[in-house]
Amino acid sequence: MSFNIILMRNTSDPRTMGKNLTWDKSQQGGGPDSYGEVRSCRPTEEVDVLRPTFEIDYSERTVKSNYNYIWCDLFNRYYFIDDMEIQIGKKIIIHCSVDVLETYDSSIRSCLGTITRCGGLVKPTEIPDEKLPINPNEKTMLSKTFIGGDVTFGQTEGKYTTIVQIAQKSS
Amino acid sequence: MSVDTRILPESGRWEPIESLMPLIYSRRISDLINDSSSGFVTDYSVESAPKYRRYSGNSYTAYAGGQGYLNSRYATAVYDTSTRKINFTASEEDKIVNISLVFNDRASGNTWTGDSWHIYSESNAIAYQHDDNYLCPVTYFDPNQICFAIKLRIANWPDTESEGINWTEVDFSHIIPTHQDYEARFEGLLEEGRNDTYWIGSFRTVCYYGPVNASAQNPRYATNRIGIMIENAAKAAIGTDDGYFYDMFGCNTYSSGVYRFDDYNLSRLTYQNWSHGYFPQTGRNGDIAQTGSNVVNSIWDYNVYAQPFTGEIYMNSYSTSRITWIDGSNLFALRGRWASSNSAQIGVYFKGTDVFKIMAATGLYFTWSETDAAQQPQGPWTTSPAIHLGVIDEDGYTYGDWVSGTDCTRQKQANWVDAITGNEEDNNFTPQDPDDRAPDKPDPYSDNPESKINPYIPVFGVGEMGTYVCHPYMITAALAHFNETFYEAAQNASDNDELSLWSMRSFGGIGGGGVTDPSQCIINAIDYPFEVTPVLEKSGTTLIKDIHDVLFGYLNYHNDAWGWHKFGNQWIDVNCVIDAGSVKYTRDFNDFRDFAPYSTAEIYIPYCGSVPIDPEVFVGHTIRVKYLVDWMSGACLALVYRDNMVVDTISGQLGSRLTITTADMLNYERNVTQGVAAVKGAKTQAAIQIASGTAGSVGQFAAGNTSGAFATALSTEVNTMASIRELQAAEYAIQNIPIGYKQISTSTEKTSRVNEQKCRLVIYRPKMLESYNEELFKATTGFKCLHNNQIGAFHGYTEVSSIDTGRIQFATSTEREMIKSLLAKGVYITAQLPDENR
Repeated sequence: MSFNIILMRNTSDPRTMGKNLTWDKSQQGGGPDSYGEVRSCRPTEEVDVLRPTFEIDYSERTVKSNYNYIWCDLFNRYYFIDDMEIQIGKKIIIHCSVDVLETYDSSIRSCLGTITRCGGLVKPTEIPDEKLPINPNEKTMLSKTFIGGDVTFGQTEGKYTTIVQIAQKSS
Repeated sequence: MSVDTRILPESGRWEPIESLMPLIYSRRISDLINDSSSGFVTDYSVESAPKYRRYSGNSYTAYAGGQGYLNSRYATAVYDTSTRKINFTASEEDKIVNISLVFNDRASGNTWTGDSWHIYSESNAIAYQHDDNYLCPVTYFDPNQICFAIKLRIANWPDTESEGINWTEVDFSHIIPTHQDYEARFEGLLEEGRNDTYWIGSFRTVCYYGPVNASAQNPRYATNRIGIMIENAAKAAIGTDDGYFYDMFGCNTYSSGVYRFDDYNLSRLTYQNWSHGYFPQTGRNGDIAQTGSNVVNSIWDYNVYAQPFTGEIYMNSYSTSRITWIDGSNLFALRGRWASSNSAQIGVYFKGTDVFKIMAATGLYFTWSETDAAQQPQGPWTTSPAIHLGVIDEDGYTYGDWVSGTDCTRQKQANWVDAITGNEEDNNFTPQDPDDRAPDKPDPYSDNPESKINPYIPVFGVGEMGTYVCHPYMITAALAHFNETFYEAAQNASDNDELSLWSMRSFGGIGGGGVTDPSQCIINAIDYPFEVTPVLEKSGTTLIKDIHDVLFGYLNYHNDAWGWHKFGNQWIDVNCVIDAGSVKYTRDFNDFRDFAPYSTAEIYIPYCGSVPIDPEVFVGHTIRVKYLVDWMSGACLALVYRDNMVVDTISGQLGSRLTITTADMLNYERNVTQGVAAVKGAKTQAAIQIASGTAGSVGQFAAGNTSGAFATALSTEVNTMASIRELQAAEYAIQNIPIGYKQISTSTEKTSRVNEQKCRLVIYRPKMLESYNEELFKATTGFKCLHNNQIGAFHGYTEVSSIDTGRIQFATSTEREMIKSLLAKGVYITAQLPDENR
C-alpha cells in the first residue's frame, strides 16, 4: 500500500504560522510557480505520525531539489524534513517531524490565549519591557514652565513690595 | 587720581596773563599759573619774602579751568570792588575740565575784622585781598567730624565744548548706578558718630565721589569726579528757638533760611536756588552771613567754587536725633519732619579721616585745626608735626597717603623742585583734557587688589549678592512709611500736638522710654518679589486706606495724658493664596517609558525649592501650584495640585526680611552664603544619587511586583529569550530607582531672588540606545504586552504565554504541548489567512 506525499520547500522560519510554501496543496498541481513533487510513498513498518519516516524511490531530481518540507495527505499533516537517507539508485528515506504550527494554523488562530509579546503592535505598551534597549546612561530633560497664575515674581523692574510692620500697642 | 604729567610745566613758569593780574583769583590759584618756583606755589604778596607753597599735579588739574581760565566758560573773573561782585567774561575758547576739585580756602584764623572772626570777611574779599594772614594754603579739617553726603553736587559734563559745566544736585540714591557703565563708589565706616541734636557741625556735607552727571535721564561721560567740601565744623550755639533749627541748610523752596553756627554766633544765611549751578548767582554770591537782618559777610572762596555743603539737611527742633545710623552699612537715615515735603533721606557718611585721604590726594598741605593752619609754619621745609602733606610719587601721582611735616624733610617732596615733564614742547603747555593724554598708570579706583594705588575714595556696597541688593530705597521706604505714619497720625490726632506725635520719645510706648532709632519701632520689614497689592486685594478684599498703612497705632500726648489711638481698618482680611500657574504633564512616549523608573520628574517651585514628583500621579494631568503666604513673616507653603486636588506641599520662604540692624545684616549675609551653598550642595547630592542609585527596592520588575498575569508570564517564560539585554534592563531598573525623599533642593529667599521666578516642571525622559531599530526590534522581539484574544488577531513575532488549545480538535496531546511550547517561545504569525481546506 502506498500513499502520496508532496515534497516542497518552506522558505519561512520554522516557527511561522502561515508559512511560505512552494506548493499550494489546495490547488491542482500546487498552484502557479509551484516547486515540488508528488511522490508515492512506501511507509516503513512502523510509522510515527509525529516523527514519520517516508520511503520513496530514488530520484536524482528529488535529491537535487533540496526539499525541506512535506505534506502528507494520509496523516493530514505538514512535516519538516529533518534528514534524508539516500540509497543512490534505490530509494530515499525521509525522516520528518511534524509542523504543528502549520498543520493546525487555523485552529491555533482561533484559540484564545494571553499574548505577552507581539511584533504586530505599533509601539510599546504600558507594560514595562526590560528588553527594550533603553539607554541606561543618558536621559533627556524636558522643562515646562508654568503658565498663568496671579502674580509674576520678578527680580527687577521695581516689582517689589515692602510690608512694614510697625510697633503698636493695643489700648 | 591719575594725572597727565605733561601738563606740569617743566620749569614751573607759565605765561602770565598780564592783564589779569593780580586781581583774578585767589593768590593760590594765580600762583599756580605763575609759578616761578617749580613744584611750589609762590606767594608774592610780600615781595621781599615770597612764600613757597607746594602743589602737585593733582591740585593743578583739580583747579577748574585751563590756563587763565576759571572754568571752561569764563575767560576772566574780575572782582569789582565797587559792586563787590565778581564779573565774569565769557571765554572765547571753552575747554573741558576733567577734574573739578571744589575746595575751600579759609582765611587765617588770625584775622579779626573787628566785629567777627575770620570766617566772616568781606564779600568776595578773597578775590583781591592779599593779606598774608588771609592766605592760607593749608586746608584744615577736624578729623572728629563725620561727613555726610545726602545730596551731592555733581558736575555735569557738557555734551559739547560750548556748553559750560552745570552742577546738578542729586539725591544720594541717584548716585547708585543706574547705568551699567557707572560705578559710583562710596563707602565708609562709622566708628563714632555724632548724635547730638545741637552739634550741628557734625552735619556738614563734605565730600563726594562719583560719576559725572549721575542723572539717569541723560548719562554723560562717566569720568569720575571728586569733590571736597571742607569746612571747619563749628560748635553750634545752643538755641532755644525752633526757627533757628528749622530747615538747616535747606536748599529748596521749603527752606526759609540757612543758618550757620560757629563758635560764637548763630548766623542766618540767605541764598537762592542754585540749581542752575554756576556761581555766582544773585544771592548765592557768597553765603552771606547775616545776623538778624544784616548781611555781614561771606567767607567763600569763589575761585574754586567752594561751597560749604552739598546737600540739604532737614532738621527738627525736637529731635533727640534726626540722624540714625543704619547698622551694618555706611548709611545713615535722616528723618524728616513733614511727610509730604520732608521725607526721610538716606545718605552716606565718611569719617573725618576719609576726608584726609582725599585731601592728601590733592597733594596739598592740610592740617587738622584751623589754628594750626594759621599758625604753623608752612612750606617745603616745615617740620611741624601738625602740618601734613599728601605724598606724591616721582610720577606725580598721589595715593591718599600723607606724611607730617617732620617727615617732609626726609621725603622726596621736600626736595622736589623740578616739575615732572621734561618735554621741551611742553613749555607753555596748554592744559588739555587729561583723558586724551593719560599716562599709563594704575587706576586709583581700580578694584584690582594688586593695584599699587590704594583706593582712598571709599567704596559703597551694601550686601550685594547677585541681583538682590539691600537697597537703601527699601530702608528709605521703611522710614518713609514711618514718617508717613506719623504724619497721618498727626492729621488724625484730636489736636495737632506735634510734640507728642513727632517725638520719637513719645512714640516709644514701651515704658515710655526714648526711642532714638526709628528702626527700633519697625518690627518687621518684609520684602516681596512681586506686587503684593493685587494679591492682597484679590477677590475684592478691601485693604486699608492707603499704601502706607499696615497695622499701627500712635501715641498721643496731650494735656499731660497719654492716649493711644488706632486707625480704622486695623485688622484686614487679606488674601493669602497666590496662584502660581499650571502646566499640563503630557506624555511623550505614551507607553511605559513615561513612568518611573524610566521617566522621573520634579517641580521647581520658586522660594521653596525642588520637589520630585511621581509621574504615575501626574502624567496626563494638570499640575498647579499655589502659595499660601504668611505676609508678616514671609513664610509660604506651596501646594501642589493634581488637577483640582492637593497632593503635595512644600514649605518655603517667599518674603525676604530687610536688613535693619547689624544683627540682621549678619544673618542676611550668612543666610545668603549658606543658601547658595545649600543649593549647590543639594543639587550636587541629588545628581550623585540619581546617577549612582541608592539603596532601595532591588528591582521594579522582579517577579511578583506587577500584575498577576504578567508575573505568571514571567515565571513561565521560557528562557530562550534571556539575553544580555534583559540583564542590562534589570540593572537599569536598579540604577534608576526614584528617589524616596521629599526635597531635592532648598533655597533661601535670598538665593531665590536670583533663581528662576517661575514654577517649572522638569521631566527626565529615557533615551533609546543609538543602535535601536524599532522595526527590527518589533519583527524579532516584539513589544511586551498583555492581551487576551484570539491568536489569529495578532501577527508578526508573537509570544503566547498561555493558550486554550481546546479548539485544536485534531491534534494529539503531544502536539498540543508542542504548540504551547512553540507559542510560548515565540512564533511568527503571518497576516494572511491559512488554507481553509484544512
